[in-house]
Amino acid sequence: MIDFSPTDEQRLLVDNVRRFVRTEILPLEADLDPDAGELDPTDHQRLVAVAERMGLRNWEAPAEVGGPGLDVVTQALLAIEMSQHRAGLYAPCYGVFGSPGLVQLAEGTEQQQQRYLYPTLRGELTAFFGLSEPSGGSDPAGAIRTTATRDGDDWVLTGTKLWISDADRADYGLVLARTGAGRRDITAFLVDTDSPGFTVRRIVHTLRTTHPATELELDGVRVPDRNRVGEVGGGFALAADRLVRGRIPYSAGCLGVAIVAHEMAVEYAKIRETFGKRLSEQQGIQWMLVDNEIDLRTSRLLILAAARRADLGEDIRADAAIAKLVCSEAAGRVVDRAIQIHGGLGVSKDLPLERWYRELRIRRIGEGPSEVQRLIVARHLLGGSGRRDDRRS
Amino acid sequence: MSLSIRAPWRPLTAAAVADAPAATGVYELRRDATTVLVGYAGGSSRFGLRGELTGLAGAYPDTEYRAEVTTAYLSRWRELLGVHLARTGLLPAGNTDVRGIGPIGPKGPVGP
Ligand SMILES: Cc1cc2nc3c(=O)[nH]c(=O)nc-3n(C[C@H](O)[C@H](O)[C@H](O)COP(=O)(O)OP(=O)(O)OC[C@H]3O[C@@H](n4cnc5c(N)ncnc54)[C@H](O)[C@@H]3O)c2cc1C
Repeated sequence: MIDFSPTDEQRLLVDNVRRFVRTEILPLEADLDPDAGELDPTDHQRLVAVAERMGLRNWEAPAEVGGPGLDVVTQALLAIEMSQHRAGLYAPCYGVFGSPGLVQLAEGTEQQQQRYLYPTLRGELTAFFGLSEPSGGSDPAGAIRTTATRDGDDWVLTGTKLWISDADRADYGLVLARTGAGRRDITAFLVDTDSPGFTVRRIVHTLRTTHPATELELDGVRVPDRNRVGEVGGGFALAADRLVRGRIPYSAGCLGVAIVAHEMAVEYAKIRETFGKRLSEQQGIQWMLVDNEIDLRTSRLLILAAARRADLGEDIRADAAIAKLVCSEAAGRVVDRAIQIHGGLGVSKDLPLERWYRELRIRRIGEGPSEVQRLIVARHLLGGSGRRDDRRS
Repeated sequence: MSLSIRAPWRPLTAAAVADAPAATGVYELRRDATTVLVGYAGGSSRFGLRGELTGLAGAYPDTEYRAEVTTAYLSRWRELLGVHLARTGLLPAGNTDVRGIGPIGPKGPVGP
């Protein structure tokens, strides 16, 4: 049996972040719009300074680029805590610990790091991740139509990207474009949003009203070769690596809000009376709470198991996929049951449950939908994808 | 969805806003054909758009408004500001303190 008890250091960090959420975030959040994704700038600056003093600013960044260099298990434990508030799923602690940036830039060139990575870590620049297109996001290797054509020292990018979060306010983005006809002929580029030919066409309004998705047009956008990240044809592996690594904190965020939803349901069930008894005394409600508990415990174990394997340097593609699949779906069920236990109050904006319910629905689609996670696990079990063209790549 | 609010402009008077929807959504105020404020009625607004516009009716004399009901009021608000920025190069006078807005849609003056 693997021991997942936190170390003393992990316990201290978790306690600090938990206290931070309760004493700093929750009181501010009480006065914000129920859908807000940002703090007032003065509060934000003040809390960034607190995060710095805690040694947790840019907590996901490796030590080589100035982050705390936390192991993946510790990151997962902190991500579970940081999401335990109304905006926590998509704006954990309103970004005061740093936004999940483009971590793969830590492997970019020195010039790319100076121009993009460090200013991003300092909070001076913001970025988007441009993979999905109107032709599909589940199978980007097949679906990407945006082309990058070499022209002297530049590349010329043309195409449309869809669903790209926060591109309307970003300074630059990592854009995946096709540089050949094969499935794996995808290359990554850093694109400045003020480049001629780059347009945010519209916001795509979804269940999530903060950090909105956008539609982008790249019409002959010139990008210098020095902004190519990795090898020509190396973009797919880079994007896949980003997605795999991101699935652990992504799952942890789902678990965090589900934990709070469950706590709220337990508390409410103990005080609300119907038919002369407390809800907590009704077996139908007890079973909902038990199912919540099972979903939470399963999620936690899967996250920590995947994180532990990542720390051991093992291949975590299947583990991360299972964690993402189970946690996003389980958290949706937990919040759904919590809403049911709260009755009408559960769907009102007086409580955070309705927001989590909406936003968690996106979690089953974003960063690789549930079906894609199943495909990844099936490949792991069966070896390869069974596609003939896999052998070429 | 159109990038601009499609509803017709109406005078911003207490009488005219009395039948505005008591729902979440976005609105735009203009004076002399210039947009002066883009706002929203959010999840904690009392009486939604009707309440917000009633509150503004006294503060913004000689203005017109148009409004749109939406539950995605924050992203729509951000979009309207981005569209205004792309068309005029500036944020509306009443929104100059809003941070993090980038241009959305075609640049330069187009359409209504
Ligand atoms: C709010 C939001 C924000 C987003 N932000 C970003 C972002 O910042 N950057 C970015 O690049 N992308 C982003 N995305 C895109 C997201 O990653 C894609 O929506 C997702 O990958 C699915 O792609 P798709 O929507 O094109 O669905 P499709 O690929 O068309 O798939 C449609 C459905 O079919 C299922 N399916 C596909 N293949 C199979 C199969 N073999 N067997 C069974 N079922 C299958 C899929 O799971 C899905 O449910 C965002 C999406 C949303 C909703």
